[in-house]
Amino acid sequence: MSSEPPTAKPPLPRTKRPNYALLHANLLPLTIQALPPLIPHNPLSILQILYTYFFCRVPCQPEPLYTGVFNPTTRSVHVTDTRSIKAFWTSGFFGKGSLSRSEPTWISRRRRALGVIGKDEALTAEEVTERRRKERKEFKLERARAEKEKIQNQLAQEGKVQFETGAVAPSSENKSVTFAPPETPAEEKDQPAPQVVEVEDLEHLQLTLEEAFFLSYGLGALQIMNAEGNKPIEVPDALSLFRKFSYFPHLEDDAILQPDDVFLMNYVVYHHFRSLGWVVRPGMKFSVDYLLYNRGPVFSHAEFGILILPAYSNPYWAADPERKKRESRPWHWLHSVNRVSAQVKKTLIMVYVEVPPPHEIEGLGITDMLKKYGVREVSLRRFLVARNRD
Amino acid sequence: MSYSDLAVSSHPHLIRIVENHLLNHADWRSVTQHAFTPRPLLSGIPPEPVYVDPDVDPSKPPTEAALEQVEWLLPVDLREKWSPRKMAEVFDSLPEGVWGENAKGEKRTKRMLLAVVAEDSTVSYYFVHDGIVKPRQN
Repeated sequence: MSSEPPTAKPPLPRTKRPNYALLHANLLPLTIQALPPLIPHNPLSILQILYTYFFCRVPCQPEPLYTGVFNPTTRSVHVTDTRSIKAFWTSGFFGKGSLSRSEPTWISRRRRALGVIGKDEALTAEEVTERRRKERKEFKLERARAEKEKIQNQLAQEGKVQFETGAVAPSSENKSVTFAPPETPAEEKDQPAPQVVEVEDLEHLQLTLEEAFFLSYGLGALQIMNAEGNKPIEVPDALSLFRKFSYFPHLEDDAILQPDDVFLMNYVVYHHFRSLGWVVRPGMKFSVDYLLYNRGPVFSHAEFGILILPAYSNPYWAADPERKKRESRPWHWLHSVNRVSAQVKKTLIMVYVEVPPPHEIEGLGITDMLKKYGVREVSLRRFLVARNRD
Repeated sequence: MSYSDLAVSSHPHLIRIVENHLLNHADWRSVTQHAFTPRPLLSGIPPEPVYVDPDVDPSKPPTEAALEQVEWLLPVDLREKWSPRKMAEVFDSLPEGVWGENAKGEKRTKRMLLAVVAEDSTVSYYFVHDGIVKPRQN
């Protein structure tokens, strides 16, 4: 672990990072209007505030609304128009590019592959990672080679093997290859001149059902169209549709919805943390349900991993042994999830969602129904006696 | 084990999502659909070998055979429930005789990539072997 980096490492081509603080100044895709300041010794300032409040208010919601199309095959909402994609990504980090790691940048990678844009122009997150991985791989190969050579030398010194000159020659050749700068200026000149090629963007921004519902019900900034794309889906219809599609395979139209549908559980937690100002993103790659970012993925790594656990403590559920059984999880499950989170330096938070009995939420509006759910957080950290002495 | 009609109708969608991901995101070639039962599968050749045999010297460039190694993929949904029996059924549906040899010259264990599709369009790939194989050294 304590191996030193190679001294002759070629310097990374530094590219200027965009000003993320300016780019992502808006935390949500809404317009927020600041009222004029209140000056206590100037009574006219109150009038100015009242005037602005009553007569010069601009609506929070965008005009026209951003649009997305519900897609039953991917069980998500697809956003294809550039204006909506830009708004959702830059203000609040909603959704994921279908062919990218997070920000939809497939088009610039494709343009680079076709030689439309330069080799180091507008590098995407994926490309930066790829370059770093390549470097790391070369370093590992070089390290393995050096270790092998050391053992060979040691054995030769001890007279256990005959020192073969032939065995060293190819490795030193290998060395010169590894340490050579990867690109020489002459090669750069050989690059094809930028061409004018129209590249069709095959990518869309994909919103999970929870994100789409938050944007449409919670913020009112998104209009969700039906699968055919010709009619908007009303918010209450979207809720029942999304609840059915949160199962795999999805439920039939006449299925009875449960108060602990996957969608409702996820949405309660999603809404809870979004309301508290966190940037919430799916955490499938870290074996958690959600990841919490302080400001957003471009600023820092996610600090917390969220596990959603339904809690059936209402007396109604006492008569439901199957659900009660689902409530208790084995220790080894917790250990493995916690280990993965610790490995990537994330704190695990178990979020218990109090599930109300079905008769309590029947016939209620969305807001009243969501109020019946309770959320409790338990943060978990592994304690190592030898390492946590301070 | 049988699949419900709704589940069966979702299989072509999963195939299409993974095929699109392989071609346009991971740069695979010769990606082919196979209408096998119980599950439709995909096969293709990755841009670089994705499985490194633990008995092969990693410092040597990959052989011609390794560069042309066809990998099989099983597209699944993140919320599906799997069991060893269901997995074994898929392995049984794979064709015999295309598996080649490992670095020691023995007949290779069948393997496929489980392509897990999540709602946010993430596709995660996991190797699944039909039995025990020698673990890889990092």
